[in-house]
Amino acid sequence: MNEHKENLKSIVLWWLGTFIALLLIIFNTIFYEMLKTSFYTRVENSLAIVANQTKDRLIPNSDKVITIPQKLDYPISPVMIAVFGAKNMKIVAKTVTFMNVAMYPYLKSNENFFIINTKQYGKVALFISRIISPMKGYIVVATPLYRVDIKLQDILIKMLILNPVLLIVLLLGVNIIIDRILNPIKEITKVANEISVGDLDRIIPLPPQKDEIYELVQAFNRMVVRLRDGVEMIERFNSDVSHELKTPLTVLKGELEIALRKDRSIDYYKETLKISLKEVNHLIEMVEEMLLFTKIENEIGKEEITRIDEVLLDVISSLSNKANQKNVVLKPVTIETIDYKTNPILIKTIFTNIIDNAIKYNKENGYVYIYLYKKENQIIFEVKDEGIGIGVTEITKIMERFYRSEKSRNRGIKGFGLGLSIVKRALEILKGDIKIESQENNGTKVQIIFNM
Amino acid sequence: MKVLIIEDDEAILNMLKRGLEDEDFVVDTATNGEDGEYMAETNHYDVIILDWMLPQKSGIEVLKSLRDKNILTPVLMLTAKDTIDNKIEGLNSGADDYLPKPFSFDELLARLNAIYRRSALKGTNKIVIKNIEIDFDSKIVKKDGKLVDLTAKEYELLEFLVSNKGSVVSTEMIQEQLWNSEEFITSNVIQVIVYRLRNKLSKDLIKSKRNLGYFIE
Repeated sequence: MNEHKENLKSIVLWWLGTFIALLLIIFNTIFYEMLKTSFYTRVENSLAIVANQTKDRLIPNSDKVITIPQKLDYPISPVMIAVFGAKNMKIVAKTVTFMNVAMYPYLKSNENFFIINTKQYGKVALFISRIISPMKGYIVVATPLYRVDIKLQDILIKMLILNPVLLIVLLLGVNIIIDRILNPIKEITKVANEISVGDLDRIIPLPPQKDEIYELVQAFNRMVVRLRDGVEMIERFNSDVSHELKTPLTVLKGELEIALRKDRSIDYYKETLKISLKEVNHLIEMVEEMLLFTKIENEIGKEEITRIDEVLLDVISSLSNKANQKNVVLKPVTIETIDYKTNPILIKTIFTNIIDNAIKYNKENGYVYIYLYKKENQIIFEVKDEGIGIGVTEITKIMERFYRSEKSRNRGIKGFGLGLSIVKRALEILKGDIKIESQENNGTKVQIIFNM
Repeated sequence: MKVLIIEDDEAILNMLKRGLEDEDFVVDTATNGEDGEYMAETNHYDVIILDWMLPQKSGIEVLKSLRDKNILTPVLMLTAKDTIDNKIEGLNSGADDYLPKPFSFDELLARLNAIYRRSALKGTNKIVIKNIEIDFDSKIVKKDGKLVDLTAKEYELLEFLVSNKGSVVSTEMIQEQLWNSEEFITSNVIQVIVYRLRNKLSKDLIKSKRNLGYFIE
């Protein structure tokens, strides 16, 4: 971030203030102009009425002189009236108050309503109407506009005072609303700053209203919980790994130290070396499983059309050696040709682990029956063994990391307990299901199901 | 010294049994908490080596129920857990010592000897009875300052009698102490060992009490 810290609130207030101020100026200018026009129109109409009323009542005095009747009930006052002759445009008659202005240019014009400035009365409105009796000429009705103008000025002043007040009140209101919106966000910022990998127990209190901020806080809290779960998983994984690694290391260290304590027979050394080699192999197996566990995460999203029957046959042939060593027979019963869009590496991992378990936990000279077939909209991979089986209480636990059934431990079967949890993770990624049916000492049936 | 090892991992168990027997320990083993607890209740052991993570009943649970039953056999806990909290929990549950995996076998031996000295030999590592001198650490016995060559069983019996100095030990107790529960011997074997010890050390060091057993005054 640069030095200058942008403040969301001041940005919003500044822009909103400017925008509303402009809007008010435009709106009020239009309003004022319309008001002015409407006032003047009213004046014009009134003057027209006065002109018409007066026109009919002009009294011809002598040949060239007419009298303007006084004290008529005019809709507007004060009124000044004058009559001009048509030819010379000279004044024929006028009220006393009529202003002293050259009327010639106005009389000649086609317009009949004017607003002019006079020395006597300031702004004045004129209305000009032609007359034919008692003589041809013009009647001019005028009224000073100071009353109207004072009213207009009054309105203008009120606008000038009221508008800034309105603007300030509005901005204060907006300010309060923004504060209410931003306060939870500030709280989020505060907590987010305090949260670290070591301290993921923080939760932001939910705001009272169920609005977008509420949802944001909820989402944030859920994110923190997910992070915490992730970190806990990693921590548990680390502690499990180091715990599991310690067992073979203890055996190795102990065996080697004991052998070195005194001079031993060659057979004794051989025995020690054999045990050590076994433990080293066990360690290698563990490290490979651990690597596999992290590797499968990289396979997320990589899917292609795969002949999964071919993948299965590959797995079977690569495990046949291991099966032979344990005198276990791998027996593919049905393997249908299946094209399926999936990740070949994950599929291979699943097949390998399931069949490998069936070999490891099988009885001597036992069979492993392998099926791969389509049923309705499902692809089913099934493996049955004749081995030690899994106890009812253990069946739910075997998918957990590092869990090894009691029997598998006691029989000294080497393994890390990661195999099935790798399968579980791979199935999560591929959206497959696993079903395990088992009876103790009576074999295990594992079904892997994908919905097409 | 008679030791009970309760450990579920067979590789570790075999290593410990092989190594300790090689050092003339008498070793009994159990692969789960239940069996281990039963053996600790029914037999006498000088030290129990107890793994923390056991199937069925954890090491801590076994330890607590042994202490509840007032069985005060010294316990050395073995565990892959090595945080301070784990150590405190282990020691608070009544363990006498605590050894994190992977441990050095030499250290295990030293700690077993130390525990044994503290409990059975009441803190001494050397004892002198008349003209006989016994060093428990190096397992060396001297008579009038001269080295006496004893077999493992002879030394074990001598140590057992000395650690129970003043009280009579029966042939059953001796059998239990000197041989593990899978070995069967005749009482005649014990008589032979006593006879040899008397010859090598002195006639009147080990006294017999008819039908009851042997003792050292």
